[in-house]
Amino acid sequence: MPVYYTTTLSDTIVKNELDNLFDDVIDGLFGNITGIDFRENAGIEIKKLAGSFQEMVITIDADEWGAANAIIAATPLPGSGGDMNWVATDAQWICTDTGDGTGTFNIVYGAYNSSGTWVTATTIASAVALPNAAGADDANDGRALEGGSVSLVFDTTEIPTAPNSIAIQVNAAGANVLSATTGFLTVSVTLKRLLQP
Amino acid sequence: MSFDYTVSLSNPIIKSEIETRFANIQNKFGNIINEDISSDAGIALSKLSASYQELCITIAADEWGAANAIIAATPLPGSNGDTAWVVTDIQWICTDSGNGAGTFDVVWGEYDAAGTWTTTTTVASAIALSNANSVADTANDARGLEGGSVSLAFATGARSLAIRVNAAGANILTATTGFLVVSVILRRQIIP
Repeated sequence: MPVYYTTTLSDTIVKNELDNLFDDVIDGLFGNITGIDFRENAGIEIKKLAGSFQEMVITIDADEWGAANAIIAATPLPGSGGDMNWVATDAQWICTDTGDGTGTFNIVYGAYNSSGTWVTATTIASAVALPNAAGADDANDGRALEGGSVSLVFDTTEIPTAPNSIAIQVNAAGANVLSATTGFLTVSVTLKRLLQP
Repeated sequence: MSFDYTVSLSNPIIKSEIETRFANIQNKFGNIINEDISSDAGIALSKLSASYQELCITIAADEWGAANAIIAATPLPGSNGDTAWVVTDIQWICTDSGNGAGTFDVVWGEYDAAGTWTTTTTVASAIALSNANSVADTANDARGLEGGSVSLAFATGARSLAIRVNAAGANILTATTGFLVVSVILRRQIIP
């Protein structure tokens, strides 16, 4: 609520005039501040808000399994060198065929290098187990990361040196994982960072 | 912040009372807290230092195609009249870059009533699927757009982001397994 001063004080200031003026100021400052009280382009820092984070989900879809260390699926995370880092907080997976239940995988952040070989910059979650639900080859799902804070750093250099994708990497191959002609392992990763200017 | 406010001035007014009141008011600036703001203040987003949200759309292809072929698409839900999303960054990763001569476009559009793809906006064009280290069929990755501002307007019908083959090149994604995945970062202001 803006405070308007529409009167001037008497030459000999009268007590009630001042009381009224102060009442107006107090009313305006306490509990009644509105958008128009802030200067245009005020630049109110978002850390002063009760909530200031945005989130998004990156999904990585694999339809075939592989040998240990194989990159079986990847999803790029676009951005520029110097961008604010995304932070991985949670990851979850769902799979139609867990094979013998001993397979595990990693969720990694990295890139193919100049020779076309995968290089991991950051491991988001490692040795995530693909256990059977009740028996071999069951579908199943699980959490791979919960309430984490894995920072994914954008590099100032251009690809392929800079990490740029989140990938599923086979850790322990197990046996018979995704052995059917159809089926999938999908991993979703929740990322968060502050709202952007 | 507590505010020492004497409800009523003395009569006659005492100098120190006035000075205290002005000092308290002056101190209030820089100490405004949540309770001071009206519950329906409606503070404009332009008055914040940051107000943009972002999301990532991924488009995954497991087969290549001839020039102009739409090889994968991902719908972007929304209603006609919604604030447009703006594309800022694109990145791709591919397990088999073939002979390194292939290129693709990222386009915004829809299938028309005849089932033919119609491009409304070309988001990025002729992105090269270069070989890593000039070796054929290598895996590779790169940026397709960096710090851009391509606006995607919603329409009365559904629209999608798609990968369209530009130059076909040769031997791209020829293995029975493999993928080309393109991610697109979109941003717009947080909505009411």
